[in-house]
Amino acid sequence: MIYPDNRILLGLAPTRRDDLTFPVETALENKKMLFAHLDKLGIEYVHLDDVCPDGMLVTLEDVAAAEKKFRQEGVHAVFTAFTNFGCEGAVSMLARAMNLPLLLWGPREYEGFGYEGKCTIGLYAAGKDLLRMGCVFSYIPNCYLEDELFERGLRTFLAAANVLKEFRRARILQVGPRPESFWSVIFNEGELLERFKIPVYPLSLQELFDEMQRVLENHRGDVDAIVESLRQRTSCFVADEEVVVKSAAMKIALEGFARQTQSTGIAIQCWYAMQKAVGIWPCTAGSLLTEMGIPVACETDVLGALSCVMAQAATMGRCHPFFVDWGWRHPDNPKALSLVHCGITPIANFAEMPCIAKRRPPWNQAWGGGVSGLVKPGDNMSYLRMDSLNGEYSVLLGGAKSVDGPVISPASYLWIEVPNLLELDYKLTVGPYIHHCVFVHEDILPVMSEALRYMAGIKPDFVFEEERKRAQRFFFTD
Amino acid sequence: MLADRKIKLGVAPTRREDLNFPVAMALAQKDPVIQKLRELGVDFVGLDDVCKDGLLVSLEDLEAAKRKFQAEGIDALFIPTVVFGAEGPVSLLAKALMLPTLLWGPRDPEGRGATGKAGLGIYTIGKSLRRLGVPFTFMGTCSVEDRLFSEGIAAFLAAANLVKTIRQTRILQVGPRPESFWSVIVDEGMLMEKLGIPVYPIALPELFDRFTEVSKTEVSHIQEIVAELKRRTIIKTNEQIIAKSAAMAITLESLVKETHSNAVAIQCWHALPKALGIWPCAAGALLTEKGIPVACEGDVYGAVSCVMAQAASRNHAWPIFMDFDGVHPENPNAFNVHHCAISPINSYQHMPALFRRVNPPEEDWGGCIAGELKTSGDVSFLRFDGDRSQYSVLLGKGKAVSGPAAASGNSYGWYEVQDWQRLEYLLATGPYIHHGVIIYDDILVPVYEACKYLDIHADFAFDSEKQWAESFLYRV
Repeated sequence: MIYPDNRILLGLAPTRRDDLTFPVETALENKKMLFAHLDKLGIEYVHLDDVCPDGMLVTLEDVAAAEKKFRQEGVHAVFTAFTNFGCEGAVSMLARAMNLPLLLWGPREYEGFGYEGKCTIGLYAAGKDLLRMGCVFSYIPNCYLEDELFERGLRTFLAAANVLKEFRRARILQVGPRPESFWSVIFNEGELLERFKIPVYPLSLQELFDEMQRVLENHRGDVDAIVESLRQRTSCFVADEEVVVKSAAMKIALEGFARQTQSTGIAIQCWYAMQKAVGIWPCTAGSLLTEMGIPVACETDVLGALSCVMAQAATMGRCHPFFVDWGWRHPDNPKALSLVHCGITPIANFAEMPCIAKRRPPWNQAWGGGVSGLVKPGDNMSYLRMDSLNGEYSVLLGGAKSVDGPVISPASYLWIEVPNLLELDYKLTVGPYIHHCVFVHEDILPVMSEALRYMAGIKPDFVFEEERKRAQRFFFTD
Repeated sequence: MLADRKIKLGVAPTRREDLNFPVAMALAQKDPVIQKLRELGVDFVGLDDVCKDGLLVSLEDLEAAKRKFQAEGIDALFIPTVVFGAEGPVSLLAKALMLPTLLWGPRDPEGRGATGKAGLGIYTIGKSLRRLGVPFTFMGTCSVEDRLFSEGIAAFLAAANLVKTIRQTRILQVGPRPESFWSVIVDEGMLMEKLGIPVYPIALPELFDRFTEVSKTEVSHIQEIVAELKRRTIIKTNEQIIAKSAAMAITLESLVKETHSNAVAIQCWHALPKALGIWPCAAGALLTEKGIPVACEGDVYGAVSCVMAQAASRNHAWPIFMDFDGVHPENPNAFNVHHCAISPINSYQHMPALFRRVNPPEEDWGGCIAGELKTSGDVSFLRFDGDRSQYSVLLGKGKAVSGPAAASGNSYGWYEVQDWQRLEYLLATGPYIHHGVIIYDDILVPVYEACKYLDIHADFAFDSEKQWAESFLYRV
């Protein structure tokens, strides 16, 4: 499976301390209410009812049974819900064994006399044990099930788990070496493997071209179907029909290689060996693949492709990554700048039907293949860029909202506003970042902030302090 | 032999400003050093025209020396402490230049301190260089007539050549690495961050375009190389493949020149032979022989290994890029190397063959070279590699022996080392791979010294060779 399904199966392990001071009935009642609420929210989970007494995590036998069950079911994250004081030891042992994103929560006392089981006291204890064990965990502060905070915290946690899941299975198909003039996209292939177990599959451009040829000869029907769908979904082909045909063949060829190598993202060389050999830019092909959930980054930007994979996962697949160059400043609005690229953006990301463009420079060439138009607006957009320097990895994070601005053509573009453009400009130049970035039409800052807590060796790097505070306080803001 | 690379030495004899150490005493010690360097044919500049008595004594001298050495573009610094030495000015000069720095003083023949306490000065300067974080090389106090002086200077110059070469190195990377070779994965950013080596990538179609152009336009040049290949190899392939190999050599050389590279790592599995019908081995062999080493299978660290070995030998010998393989059937400490093969044509015992590889049998891809590498002579082996943010160089000595031919029909050679099982252990567990470089020269001391300046771990395969190399410059 190369396409992300954005499905997170939660291993639910309610825990109860087996202690005469805590009535079993209260714990079971709390558990029952939790199950009912998760069902109401449509959360997919497996529980321990069939493997532990009362379906509760209490003893070390329960830990073994829970681990076995969760492994069999292939859960992606664990939720140890405290139904009373809870069993710190069992929680910690299960957390260490599973090595997955872990959520802690316990219900607020309805009566406020500690009668229902002193959940919070148990949670404070368990938090310390988990730290001793070296386990990272997420915590939804003590609240009622019905509180908005519970659902917000839970969904943020699930999305963070999805980022981690996609990051852990990420593989990048690198098509061609980087373009020589782009020193900025230099990355450390060995380091990606050593630190994050992320393999890169290199493929030479020639092999891609040979495969495109084979597709054109043997799978013309599939190619024509894509061309026809592009005709329906775009306003016009400014580029020659031949360019669109080749773009469709390239999409099929790239998808085949991605499947074969089980890659979840692609970084492709597009300057200028490809145009000289096959006369197209890979933008349209990349746009189609990105829309299918395999993001494509241009200019052989492997860390850019990885950034796309993360951003997409953070939205649970609701948004397609918009891979861009940070552009230039708005003529009138001092807080705004453009986002612009030749057009690897998915068609679904445009405000109106885009066209398949022909790039202008170099003027003497008819090379085409970019998807061009104004990208759809968004009030709550986020940007993300993973990069590294001297062995240290960090992720640039921030929020933006779109504003009106002059037409840029041919390009996929959008004008955005940020809290302080000069601060962003400074950060992009002196940070360890480059001119490439990924945008999504959603606020993913709290999710990314939480996900990065689980990704040892990658630091979150918010451009704006107030955005960092907001993202990190997301779990305990009423 | 390739052209010698010039290494310009800045010589800063130093004296401590101290009534105990009169200038006359310093000059009496300095003159024989200068005289000896001339005798050895070292390319050097001194301070005679910028400092009083040509000695580094004061902070003014330091400024003058710095200006002069920077203007002259020296590659390495030599500090003879002719009498005690001026610790501060010497240390600050070395810190300002950050070049390979050799610290040495003349031996006091009587040991009574009557001639200037050169040793004492060195011990003090060593400490302040450490405090300033300046790596340096120490040569034991000796007479300029001792064997150590001339051999030590030569080894230091070779080390300086290696440092200079690495700092000017640029690798032309042709095509991405072959997917199945995880072993040759390279951290391109780390190479720039730690060693300042940029990689110049080009896509295979760009190589093919240039190849096509060269094939059309460089006909007479191709014919010259074809004639050379016919003269220097036993031809076991067809005319077309010889011509293509020649065209590939011209293509690669022109790309190297254009991109200011000095070594190449080329993708040869299998997109290149599929497109052109040749392997790039013969072309690579010709370039390597010209002093532009080519490593196959996209092995960028392999290309760096070749550059290091060649520079450490001061271009006196050629790097032979090979697979390190199994043990000799009779000799338990001799091991086999083989490849298809990119080693220079001059590295063979007999005239090698220009042939078509046996595998894959259905393809008529040629352009490989086969023969037995020279079966006598002292060699060194070397492999530069790295992971987990640390670079290291595997190093050792051996001697060429004869042994059975490679089953693949490829080029091969056999080398006896102190302990093959130890080497095999390091190849498997170190940060190393199956690729390595053999060179018919002893390069251990220069590589060891250069590693200090490049912050690379010198990883000797055998302890006794490590002790020997480490002490080479201080044992008279």
